[in-house]
Amino acid sequence: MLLSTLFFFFLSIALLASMGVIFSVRTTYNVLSLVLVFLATSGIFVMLNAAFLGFVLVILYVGAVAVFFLFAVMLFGNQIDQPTASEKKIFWPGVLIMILLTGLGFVFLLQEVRFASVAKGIETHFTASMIGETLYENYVEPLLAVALALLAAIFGGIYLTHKQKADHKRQRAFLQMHASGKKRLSYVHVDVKKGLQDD
Amino acid sequence: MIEATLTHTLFLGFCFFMLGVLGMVWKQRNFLLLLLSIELMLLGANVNMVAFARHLGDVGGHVFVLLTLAVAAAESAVGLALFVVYFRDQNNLSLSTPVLKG
Repeated sequence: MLLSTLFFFFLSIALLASMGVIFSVRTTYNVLSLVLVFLATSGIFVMLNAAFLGFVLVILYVGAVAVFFLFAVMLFGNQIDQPTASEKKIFWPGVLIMILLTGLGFVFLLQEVRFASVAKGIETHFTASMIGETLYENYVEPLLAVALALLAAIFGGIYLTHKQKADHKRQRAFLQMHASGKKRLSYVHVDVKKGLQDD
Repeated sequence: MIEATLTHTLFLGFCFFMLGVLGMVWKQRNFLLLLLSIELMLLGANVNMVAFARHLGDVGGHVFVLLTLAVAAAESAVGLALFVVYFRDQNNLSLSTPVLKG
C-alpha cells in the first residue's frame, strides 16, 4: 500500500515535470524540469526492481548530461522563449492529437496486457552483476557498436567545436607546393603625379 | 487505493514519449528544447523496457536500457556540439532563420 502510494507520487511528479520540460518558457527551467523527471523516474526504476539502472540514471543523467545542458544554457544566457503566433495556433490541435495517439496506443496495449497481467509478475531483483553477465555473454556485438558510437561522438564533438586559430604557424604543404610567383608578385602602373593609389 | 501495475508504468512511458514528440513538433525552432525532447522520448522507451523486464523477469530489457543510455549520451554530446557551432555562427538559438536547409 505504501509502495503504491510512493509509486503514484513519483509518477505524478514525473508527469508534471515532463510537462514543465515542454511548456516552460525559460530554458533553465526546461533543463531543471528534465532533472526532476530523471529523479522521479529513477525512483520508479528502483520500485520496479531496477535499482542499478535507477542509480545509473541519477549518476549519468542528473550528474553528467543535465549538467552538460546547464553549462550550455549558462554559456548562451537564460533565454526566454515565448511561443510565437503560429505556435499558439497549432498548440491545441497538437495537444489533441497527442492525447488521441496516447489513448489509441493505450487501448491497443491494454488488450495485450489484460490477459498478461493475470499471471502475476515475476519478482526478480536485477543486480548489476546479472546485467553485466548478460551484457558480456549475449550482447557483445551491440556493446561494441555502442562503444563505436561513443567514439564517433567524441570525435564529432571535438571536430565540430574545436576552433583553429586564424594565425597559426603550421606548415601547409599543399599551399606551399602550389605557390607561384604570379600570385605573389604583380606589376602596377604608378602614375607619376598621383602616386600609388589604394584600391 | 489502486495497486501500481505494469499498466501504469507503460502509461508513464507512453506519456513521456508523446510529450517528447509534442515538444519536437511544437517548438521546432528552439534548439535546446529539441534535444531535451529527444531525451524525454528515449526515457519513455527506457521506462517501457524496464517495466517489461520486471513483468517478464528477463534481464535483457535492462541491458538494452544501458545501451540506449550510451546512445543517448552520444547523441546529446553531438547535439550540444552542433548547438555551440550554431550559436557561434548565428548568435542566437532560433532555428527559424533559414540557414539550415531542410
